Formats: sequence, structure tokens, C-alpha cells
Amino acid sequence: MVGNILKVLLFSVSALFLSGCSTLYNPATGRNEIIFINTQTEVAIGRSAVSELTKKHKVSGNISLQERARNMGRRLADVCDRRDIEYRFSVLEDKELNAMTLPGGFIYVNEGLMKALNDDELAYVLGHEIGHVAARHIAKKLQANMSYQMLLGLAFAGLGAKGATEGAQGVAKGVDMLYGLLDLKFSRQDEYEADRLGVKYSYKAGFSPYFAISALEKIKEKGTDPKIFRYFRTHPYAEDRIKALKQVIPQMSAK
Amino acid sequence: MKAKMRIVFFCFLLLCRVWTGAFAQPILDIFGVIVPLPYGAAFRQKERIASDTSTVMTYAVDASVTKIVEFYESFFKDNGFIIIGGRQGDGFEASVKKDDAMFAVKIFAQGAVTIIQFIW
Repeated sequence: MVGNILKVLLFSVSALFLSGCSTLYNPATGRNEIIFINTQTEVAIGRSAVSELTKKHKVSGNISLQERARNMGRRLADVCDRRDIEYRFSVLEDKELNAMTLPGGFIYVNEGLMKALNDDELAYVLGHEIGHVAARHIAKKLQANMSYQMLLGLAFAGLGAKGATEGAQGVAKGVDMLYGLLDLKFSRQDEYEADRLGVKYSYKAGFSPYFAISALEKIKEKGTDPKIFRYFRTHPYAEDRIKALKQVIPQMSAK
Repeated sequence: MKAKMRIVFFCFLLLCRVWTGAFAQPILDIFGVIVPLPYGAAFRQKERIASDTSTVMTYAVDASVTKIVEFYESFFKDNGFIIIGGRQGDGFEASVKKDDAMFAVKIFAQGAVTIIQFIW
């Protein structure tokens, strides 16, 4: 009898005082985080976004560029902190110096950026994008800004099921909102984190992390065309990031 | 006398209600889809996320994670839900859809209890 009462008391006390949110230890950030979007749902949302992206942007027909992105991307993904998703790398037929990551590990690099950077520099850019996925920056951005119904609508549409109650219109609206979010800059903290992870992964994959600085400087130097600055619109704080990288890279190489 | 009878009858009804309530299967209604909660599931908290557009309902139950996962796996399977995800280590993480209702379910151990979260 006393045992039962104690059991009930213990259960009630733990139910009251333990946190109600599920936290997940994220090895990329080293923090316990609250993530409501599970990996499979994130991938399904990504699939929805990919099908819309490929309607608007042409995938590059340059086989050697595609292979270069894929091979380098795989090398980096093999050493990254998040392995529960399959990273997919693709090149878009676009001269703009830009790269983007969709939810679920779908990473796109424009032809312009592929051609402007050498392998070590590209490794940093790809590592940076992988870093956003590994640190779950995109998932956090989505769950903070989009209603869960819209996200689930996109996920089920990506699975082939009829998405939300509004059907195709709702899905298109969701994808537009998602692109809008992806086009917004990440927070300063997220950028620094993705940079740190980018150099970490490029170093672990056998590339020189020092080329991270030259990659950013190259993109900045070629910025006579205002379009080129788009990279810095979605990946801002260039000067500060270069400064931070100069501190991070020697520590990384010394490990 | 009549008044006394009324009081006794009222007490009887109240007891019946308490009695049946204690043994009724607790449920959650998510957009018209009835989702059962395991016996003994205690409501823990309701949160609003994503600029107050989404809801997270959290329950705690004094049963093993395995039992709760099996309970929901068979419920979703038997009731024709479309499922994205499933078992994750010892727990369960999935997004489910039936008719127009879509929501996510997370089940995991927390100390001595099992936590069940519904997000929509």
C-alpha cells in the first residue's frame, strides 16, 4: 500500500517537474535542442520543395560539374555529424554565385559558383551547406516560422499523398513560403556555426580548411555584379565571418 | 423525504460519473480524428509554437516505451493512417495523416515515465 502511494507520488512529481519537451542532443552544435520535425518528415518536405525547384530552375547538363559536386559532397557528408539522412548534391544551370540547401539534405550549387572555386574552396562551401543541415538550422527555421499543418501538408505532398485540405493550392502556397524562408538570411550564430562546421568537415575530408577564407574573399571580389551579392544576402556577415574563420581554422588544424 | 431522495439520487449519479470516467478510455480529438490515449496517461502541458499557429500536447504515462509504441503502431496501422517515419531507437517519431487530419507523434522515455507528444 505504502509502496503504491510512493509510486504514484514519484510518478506525479516526475510528471510535474521534468520538462515536457523532447530534447535531442545535436552533435553538430553540441547542444540539446527541441526539434519537432522528425528526419523523415524533413526529407519528405525537401522532396516537395525539390519538385517545385526543378520546375523553376534548370538542372545543369554539365556531367563533369555534377560528378564533381556529387563526389566532393559525398566525401564531406561521410565525415559530417549528421548521418541519418542521405545528402544529395546537384548543380543548377545558373551563373549566379550561390548555393542553397533545401530541407532533408538536398544541396544545390550554381554552375557559376562551381566554376569560380577550386576544390578546397568548394569543399568549404559544400561543408557549410552540410553544416546547416547537420545543425538542423533549416528544420529549426521551418518549425519556428511555418504552421505545423503547412509543413505536414508539404511532407505528405512529397510522399505523393494529397497534401493539405486545400490540395495543390495549399502545397504551392507552402512551397512559396518555404522558399521565402530559405531566401532569408540565417542568424549570425547559425552562419558562424555553419562556417565552423564547413571547415571542420572539409578538414576531416582531407581538404585544406584555409581555402574557406579565399572562397569568401573570391565571392566578395567578384561582386561587381549586384546579383553575385545574393550569396551574402542569404549568407551574410562576410567580413565578420572571415575574421572568425581566421581564428577557427588554426585551432581546427591543430587538433 | 423527497429532498433527501433527490440528494441520494444526485450522489448516485455523481458516483456513476466518477466511476465510469475513471475507467473510460481517454481520447484526443485532432481535427475530427479520435486518437486514444493509453490508460493512466496524465496530461502534462499544452504549448503553442510557430507564432502561436501550432499546438504541442504532452502526456506522461507510467508504462514502458515499447508498450506505448506498439499501442500506437497498431492503432495507426489498423485505422488506415498514412505514416511518415516510425521507430527511432527505443522511441517513435512519425507524422501521420488520415482524411484531412495531419499531426505528428513523438514517444520517448523520460526518467521513469514515457512521454507522448502530439503536434499539429
